[in-house]
Amino acid sequence: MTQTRAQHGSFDGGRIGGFLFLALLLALIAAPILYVIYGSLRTGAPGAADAGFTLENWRTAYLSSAYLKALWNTMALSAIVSVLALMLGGALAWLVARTDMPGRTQMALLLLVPLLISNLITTLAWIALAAPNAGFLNAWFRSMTGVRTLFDIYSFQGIVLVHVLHYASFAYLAIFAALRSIDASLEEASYMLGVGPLGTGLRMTLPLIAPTLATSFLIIFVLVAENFSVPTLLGSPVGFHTLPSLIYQNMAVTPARPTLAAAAGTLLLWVALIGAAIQRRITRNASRYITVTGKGARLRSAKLGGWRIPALCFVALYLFLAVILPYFALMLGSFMSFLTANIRPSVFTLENYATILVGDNLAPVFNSLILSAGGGLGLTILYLGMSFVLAQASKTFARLVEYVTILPSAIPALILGVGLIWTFVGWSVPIYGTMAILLIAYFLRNLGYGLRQANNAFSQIARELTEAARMNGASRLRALWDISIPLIRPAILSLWTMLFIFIFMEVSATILLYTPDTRTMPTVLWNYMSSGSQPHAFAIAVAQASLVFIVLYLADRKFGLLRKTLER
Amino acid sequence: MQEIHATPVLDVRSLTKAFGATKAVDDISFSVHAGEILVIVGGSGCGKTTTLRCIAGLEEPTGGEIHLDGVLIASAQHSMAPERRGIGMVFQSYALWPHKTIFENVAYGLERRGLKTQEIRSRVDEALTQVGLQEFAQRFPSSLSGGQQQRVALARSAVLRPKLLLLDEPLSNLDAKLREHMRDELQEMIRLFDMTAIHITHDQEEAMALADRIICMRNGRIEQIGAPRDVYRSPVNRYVADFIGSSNILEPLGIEAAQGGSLIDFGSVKLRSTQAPDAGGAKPSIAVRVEAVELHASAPEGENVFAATVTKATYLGGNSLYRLEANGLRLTARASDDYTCGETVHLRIAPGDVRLIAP
Repeated sequence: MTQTRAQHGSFDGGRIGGFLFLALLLALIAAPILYVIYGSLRTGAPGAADAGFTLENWRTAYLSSAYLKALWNTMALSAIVSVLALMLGGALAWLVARTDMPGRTQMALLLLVPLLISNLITTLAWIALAAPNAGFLNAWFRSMTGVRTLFDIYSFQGIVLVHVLHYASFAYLAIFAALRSIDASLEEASYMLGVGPLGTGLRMTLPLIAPTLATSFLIIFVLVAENFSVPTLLGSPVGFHTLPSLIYQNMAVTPARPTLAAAAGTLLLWVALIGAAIQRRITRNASRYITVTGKGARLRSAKLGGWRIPALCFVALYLFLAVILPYFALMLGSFMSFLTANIRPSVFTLENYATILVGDNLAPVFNSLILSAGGGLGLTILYLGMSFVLAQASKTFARLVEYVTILPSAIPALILGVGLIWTFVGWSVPIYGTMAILLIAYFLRNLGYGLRQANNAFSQIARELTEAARMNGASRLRALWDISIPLIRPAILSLWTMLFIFIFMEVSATILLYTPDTRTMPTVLWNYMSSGSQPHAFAIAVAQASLVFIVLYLADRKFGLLRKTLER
Repeated sequence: MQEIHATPVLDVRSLTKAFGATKAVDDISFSVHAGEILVIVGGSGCGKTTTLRCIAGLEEPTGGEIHLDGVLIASAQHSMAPERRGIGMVFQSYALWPHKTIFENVAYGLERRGLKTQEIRSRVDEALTQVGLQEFAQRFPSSLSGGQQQRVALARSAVLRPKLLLLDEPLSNLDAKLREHMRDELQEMIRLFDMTAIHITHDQEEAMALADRIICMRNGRIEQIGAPRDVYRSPVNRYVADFIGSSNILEPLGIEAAQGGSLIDFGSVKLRSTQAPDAGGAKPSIAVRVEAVELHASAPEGENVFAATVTKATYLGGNSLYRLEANGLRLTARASDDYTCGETVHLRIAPGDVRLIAP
C-alpha cells in the first residue's frame, strides 16, 4: 500500500513535471520572438555594448519605400504562386483521383516527390537550365532558333516558376485527399437532378473542397512569403527583393544590420501569424458543415475518353519539369568545371565531387547525416514521447499544449534563426555554435507536424490492446514498448524518414545558426552559390537529391511511406 | 440463495466515479464470493462498464473503496496500478495482440511475471489444450474465428490464475446464433478454470443464463441484486420488471389486505396477490410477467380467473403474443395456445405472480 501511495505521489510529480515541461516549451517558443521584437528596437544587437533604444529600424522597415516595395513584392509573389500552384495541383489531383487516366496509381505517388526535394535544389537546377547565357535550355534553343534567351530564370517569372513547380505538389497532396473523401452519392444526386458534369463540378464538387482550397492557399502563401533562398538567388541579382531576402541580406551580408533585419522580421511575422490565424478559422468553420464522409466512400471516376493519353502526358510533363529535367541538368552541371552551354570533353571534371568528399569538406556531409538521421530519430522519439505523455494528461492541459505547439510553425524560419541566436548567444553553456541550437531550431520548426503525426500514430491502436497488456501485468511504459511501438512501427519509421528529409534539406533556419564547425550540406551549397562556384553547389545538390530519392524509394518499399502520406 | 463465505473475493463499498459533474457510478456496494459468477446487467450508460473498469484499475474511483481478498486496492486517495492487482480481463473486442502468435499472446502475462521459459511453455500448452486450441499455437489472431478468439482471450487470462476474472461484454460482437453457443461455452470454461468472475452485459437473457447472481444497474445505481430466478420473479421496481423479461405494469385503483396477502382492485377485475399490501412501498404498481398470464378456452378452476377479448394476436413461431382486454384492463400475454383476434378467452394468473413493485 505504501507503493500505491508512492504512485500517487509520482502522479503529482508528473503534474509538476508536465507544467515545467510546458513552461520550458513556452519559453523556448516565446524567447526568440521576444528577442526579435526587443532587438528591433535597439541600435545594436542584444548583448552588444553601448546600444540603446531606437525607433529607427521600425521606421525603415514599416515606412521606407524600399521595404514597402519588398512587402508588396512578397505579397504579389505569394499570391500569384499560391493561385497557380492551386490550379496546377488541383488539375493534377483531379486527374489522378477522379478520372480513368492510365497509370494514375503510380503517378499518385510520384507526384509527391517534388514536395520532398527542397526548392533550393530546384532553383539550382533551373539556374543550370535557364541562366540567360549558359543555361542549357537557353543555349539549346539559341542553337536551334538563334533567339538569344528563351527564358531568363533571374526574374520574377523565374521565382514564380520554381515555387509553382514545388508547391503544386503540396496543393496536389491536399486536394487529392479532399477529392477522395467526397461521397459519390452527393455528386450522383446532382446528376439525377439533370445537372451536367461541368455544372456538378462547379456547384457540388468545388464548394465541397473549397475549405481545402482556402487553407492550402494560405499555407502556400505563408510558406512562399517566408522563403528567402529562391528570391535571394534569383531576384537579388536583378534587384528584386522580398522581405525575407532583405532580412537575410541584413543579417548575413556585411555591413550586417541585424536590428533592422529584426524590425523587418516583425513585419513578416504579422503576415505569417495572420495567415495562420485565418487558416485555423477556416478549418474550424469547415468542420462544422462538412458533408464529406470518411474512407470507404464510393468514388465516381470521370471518363476521359480520347483525353486519357494527353492527360497522362500532362502529368508526366509536370514531373519532367519539376523532377527529371532539373535532376539531369544538375547532374550534367555537377561534372563541369564551370557552367557553360558549350559542351565539349575538356569542360568535364570529377573535381567537384572530389572537393566535397575530401578532408575538411567531408565534415558538412557527416554533420548533415548525423543531424538528419540521429537528430531526426531523436526528434521522432521526443514527439512520440510528448504525444504519449499528453494522452495521459488532463484534457485542458493537452489542449493548452496543442495551442502552444501551433505557434512555432507560424514563425518564419529566418526570424526563428535571428531570435535563437540572440536567445542563446550570451549563455555560458555552449548552445550557440553547437549542433544543439540547430536541433532546437529543427525541433521547433517541425513541432506541429511531428506531434500531429505522433498523435495519429497512437490513435491507430485500440485502447483495449494496451489495457489488455496492463491486465497481463505490464506497466504503462512496458505496454507502450511491447504493444504500441511494434504496432505503430511503420508510422514511426515514416515520421523518422520525413524528419530525415526535412532536416537534410533544411536551409532557412540553419543559414543564420551554423558556425564553421556545424556546417551542413545545404549551407555549403549556399556558400558555393554565393561565391559563384556553381558546379560545386550542383555536386552537393545531386548528392542530396540522390540520397533523398534512395531513401524515398526504400521507405516506400519497406513501409509504404508515400502511400501513407497520400492516404493519411 | 448463495451461501455467504467467510471473506468475499471482492468487496465493493460505496464506489463512486464522477466524470466532471456527472456521476457514472453513484455509491454502489456489493461483494463477490469465491467461485461465483456475478453478472451486472443494464442499458448503455448505466455505469456497468465504469464499475468494471474501476475494479480492473483502468479507472480511478472518486469515492468509496474496493477490496480484493481483504486488501484495499482502490479508493479516492489511491488506486493500485492494474498490473499489480492480479485481476484478469476479457475485453469486448478480445484485444488479442495482432503482432503476436496465439502462443505469445497467452505467454505474455507469464513472461511479465518472470517465469522460466520451460514453465511458461508447459502452462501455455496446458491452457491452450484446455480451450482446444493447441494446434493453433503458432497462428496469428487474425486467422482465427470470433469464437476461437474468445477462447484465446479466456486462456490468456486464465493462465495467470487471476483472483478474479472480469468479462466486458465479450459476447456482444457475435451474431445471435453463435452468441448462444459461446455463452454456454464461456460458462463451462469459467467453471473449468474454477474462476470467480464478474460479467457485464446489456442482454438480460445472457445475464440469466450465466449468472449465479445478477446486479441490475441504472443511472449509476444498483436497482436490485439477487439470484436470477428471484430477480425475475420478484422485481423490486418498474425498471427491473421491464428490463428483465417483459411484464405487464398495471396501476391499481386500490389495495386492501386479504387473507394470505392482498386484494388488488382494477375496477371490474380484482386480483389476489400473495404479497402484503405494503410490499411495494407507499403507492405500488403491479407487475405481471407476460408468460404468467394463462389463456384458457373455458373458465378454469382457481383464483384470479376472468374473461377477456383478444384484440391482437401476433404469431412469433412456437408461441404467440396476445393483446387482451378485460373490461378496460389491458394485458399482454405470451402463450403457445392458438387463439384468433376477437375471440373471448378466460385468463388465470396465479396469486404468486401478481407482484407489488415500487414505481
